[in-house]
Amino acid sequence: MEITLFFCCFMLVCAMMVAASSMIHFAVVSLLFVAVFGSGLVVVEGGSFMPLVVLLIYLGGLLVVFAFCVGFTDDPFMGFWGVGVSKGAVFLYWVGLLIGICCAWGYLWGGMWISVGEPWSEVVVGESLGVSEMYCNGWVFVVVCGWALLIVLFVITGLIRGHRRGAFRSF
Amino acid sequence: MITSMSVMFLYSFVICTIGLIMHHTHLLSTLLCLEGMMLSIFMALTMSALSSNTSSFILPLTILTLSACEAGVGLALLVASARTHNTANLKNLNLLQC
Repeated sequence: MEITLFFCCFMLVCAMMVAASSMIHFAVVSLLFVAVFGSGLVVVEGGSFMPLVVLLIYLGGLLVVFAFCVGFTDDPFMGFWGVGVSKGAVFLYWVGLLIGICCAWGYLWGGMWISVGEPWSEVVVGESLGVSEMYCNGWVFVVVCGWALLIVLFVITGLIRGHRRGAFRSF
Repeated sequence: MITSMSVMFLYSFVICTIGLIMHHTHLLSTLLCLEGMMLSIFMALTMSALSSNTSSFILPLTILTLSACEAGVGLALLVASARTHNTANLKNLNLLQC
């Protein structure tokens, strides 16, 4: 029970730091911790494959690209709180966070939280059956996602291409 | 099925949405809030698939793939804006401002 509240509180605190922070470097690291603690919540609920997908593909693939793009920025460090977006919004966020923590406390200790996922109940974990369902009956989704990825590759190549003059050129 | 734990991901989604509509300095902060929203949606969908005892994780995986596409296009726009105007501040993207 305690670790669930720990994950919930830290995930909301880090989500708040993603939304309002003085420097982009803090926001990127906070998004990393949002992914980690959110995956922890899914693990508590009983999933094992989906958090790994998030941690490997999303963190290891996408967030690394975001962290490299932070190199395009040149924010001067003027303090941790009260700079930029986080000037007037921090108080509202903390109030909302306290309300959220009180609601979470009421949910967790009020008997409304039911734990699913018995240990060692099946020989084959149901989650891997669900993910492999995507290749059996949900092949349309695989084809659509693959086609979308291919098209986005060419879209990005066209955006970054250059060789044109005007308001939207690059390199 | 919406459980008590999905409320947490609703909170993080609302927090990231408020961060999206706030007046940021850089375009990358807005894109990071967008990624936070997509992550919350993915976790909430996974939680609902786990709680309802039906093993169908097709929708979270599809949403993750399409959000990765969207993040890639957003970063390409950021790079193009940084190369054209030498900065990606949101104050410079005011062509449609009345």
